[in-house]
Amino acid sequence: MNWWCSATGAAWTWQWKAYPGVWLFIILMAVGTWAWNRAGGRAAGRAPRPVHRAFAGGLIVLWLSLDWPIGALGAGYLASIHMLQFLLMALVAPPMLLMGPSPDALALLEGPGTFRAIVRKVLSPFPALVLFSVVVLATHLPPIVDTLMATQVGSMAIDLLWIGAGLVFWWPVIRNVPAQPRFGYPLKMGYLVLGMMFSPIMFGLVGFLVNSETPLYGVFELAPPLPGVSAHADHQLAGVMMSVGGMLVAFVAISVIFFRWNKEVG
Amino acid sequence: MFRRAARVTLVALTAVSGCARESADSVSAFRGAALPSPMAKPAITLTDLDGQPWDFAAHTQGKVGLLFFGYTHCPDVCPLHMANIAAVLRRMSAEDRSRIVTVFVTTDPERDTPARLREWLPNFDPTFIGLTGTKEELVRAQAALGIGEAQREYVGADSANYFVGHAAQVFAFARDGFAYTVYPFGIRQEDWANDLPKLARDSTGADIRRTLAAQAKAGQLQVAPPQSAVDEANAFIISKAVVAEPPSQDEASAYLTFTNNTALEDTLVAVAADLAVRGEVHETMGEGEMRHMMAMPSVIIPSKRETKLAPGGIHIMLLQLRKKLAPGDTVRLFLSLSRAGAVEVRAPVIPYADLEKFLGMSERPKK
Repeated sequence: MNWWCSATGAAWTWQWKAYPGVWLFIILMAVGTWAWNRAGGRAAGRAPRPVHRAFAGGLIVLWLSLDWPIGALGAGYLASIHMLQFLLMALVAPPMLLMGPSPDALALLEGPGTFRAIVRKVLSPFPALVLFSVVVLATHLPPIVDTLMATQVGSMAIDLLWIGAGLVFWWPVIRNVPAQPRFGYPLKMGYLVLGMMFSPIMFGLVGFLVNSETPLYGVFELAPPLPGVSAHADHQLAGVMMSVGGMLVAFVAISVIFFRWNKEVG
Repeated sequence: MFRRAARVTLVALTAVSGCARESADSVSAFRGAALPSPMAKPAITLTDLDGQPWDFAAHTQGKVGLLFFGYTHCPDVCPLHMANIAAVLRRMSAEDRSRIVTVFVTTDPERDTPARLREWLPNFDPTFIGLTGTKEELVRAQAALGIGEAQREYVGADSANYFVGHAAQVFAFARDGFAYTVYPFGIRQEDWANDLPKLARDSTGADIRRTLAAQAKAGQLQVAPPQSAVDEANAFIISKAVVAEPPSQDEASAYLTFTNNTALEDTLVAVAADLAVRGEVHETMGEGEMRHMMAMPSVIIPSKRETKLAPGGIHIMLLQLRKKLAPGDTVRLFLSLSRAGAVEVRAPVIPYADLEKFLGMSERPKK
């Protein structure tokens, strides 16, 4: 039995397959956040607050993107579904998941110690933007994708990198710990424009996916074909999805920030 | 800081474009695997979809002849090769394209009727030629190219449901009538796009020979191994295949060891045997009286590791035996692996107590 979706080379069937590693990961995310909130509540001498509803939504998005069929199709058959996974894991789920930790839980990050200091540094806007961009680029380089997607550990590494980078990228926008007094609404909007809407990294990748004469990723080009889907068209669709998906998510987020700002000022 | 970040971004994006630039830099080198020595076009006459004799050598004279043996129900290699060749042909000039004849010979003539081939091949390219023949003609044609005879591997008890294990490479006969290169599974569109124009534009084979000689001199030639050679360091080996003498005529257990020295994980997806109606992979679960067996849909064979199907763990069950197996019998096991393809292994039947003796015995996979 496979525990995580990866490219197996077996012909695609619509027969359901279990991926227990995915379930375990989702459970660990839920339990981990609950435990963090509990520790935060205990440190503050308050009862932990119930987890935000958006957090549950984020977990569901994450589960849908990792499990069969999206996870299996994206890991070893279609570049376009692989891109859908990226959008869901790195751009859609993280802002929802970040609603999970309570303010008391976040306050635990404010204490002394080298580890906390590093975490606070990484969660600052500029390092977060750089880290996100580097991960997005590295996890879309053809040699890396072709090598890692062939094994369950490699495929899981890519998924975890996307989720981790997404959480780091969205952190300064969603949460105010560590405090970023100068990172106000206009800068948050600019951050999202630079990181997603007009990201040079994403633009470059989209360009290669859409304009390349031959498919970029061997793992999807040489996968057992699905009827009626050409590898070339699939790669082009992946490029379009990255471009449109990134812009759409950024547009929604920027709109929300803008209206909040407007409400606060007005 | 921003300038440094921009520089890093630029360098990394250049790495993405590496594929495109690489193909431009090494455009003179062949990407196909070179045959140890050029192979003359074989005398193969089969039957076209109108029922007429089709002489491969005559119809491809002065042209590039791409020859592939496959079947239309193939889930992976056949449609991939056809789709990739077709995609590259579409982007080539009409002149180059007119010099290339792609021939698909079925290894499954029972299911691949002319009507079926007429429906399937145009999905890729309407100019692709489909050929069929009698079993003997097809065996002779494959033997003429030095490839093993395609074998059926049944899935369960249904005699109409089977895979066909066949050679996975496309033979490319140049316009001078010799094949210098073959294109195994794993060849990508960018490789075809690199090689096909060179094959199409060389009418004498002189440029091809010169290029391959230069590649060989520079140590950049990928040589197709002779059929019998196995590179153990990079091979997928199946060894210690054995069937334990069963106490009844109902079922028997088979054991073997996979040594996956390749860089990729493989998956055992189906098992069949000549002396059993059905083959399944089972796993022994629990201890003592709670011990029971569960069927497994597939077995992952990790890269760079040995995976043992052994007593007390994952093993093969041969169900509804066609005869009572006894020591001295040999069972032909047909394994279907997602990457290694169809593999036949011969497993001797031995008394259960003698299983240990077979630890040193090995057998190479046979496609």
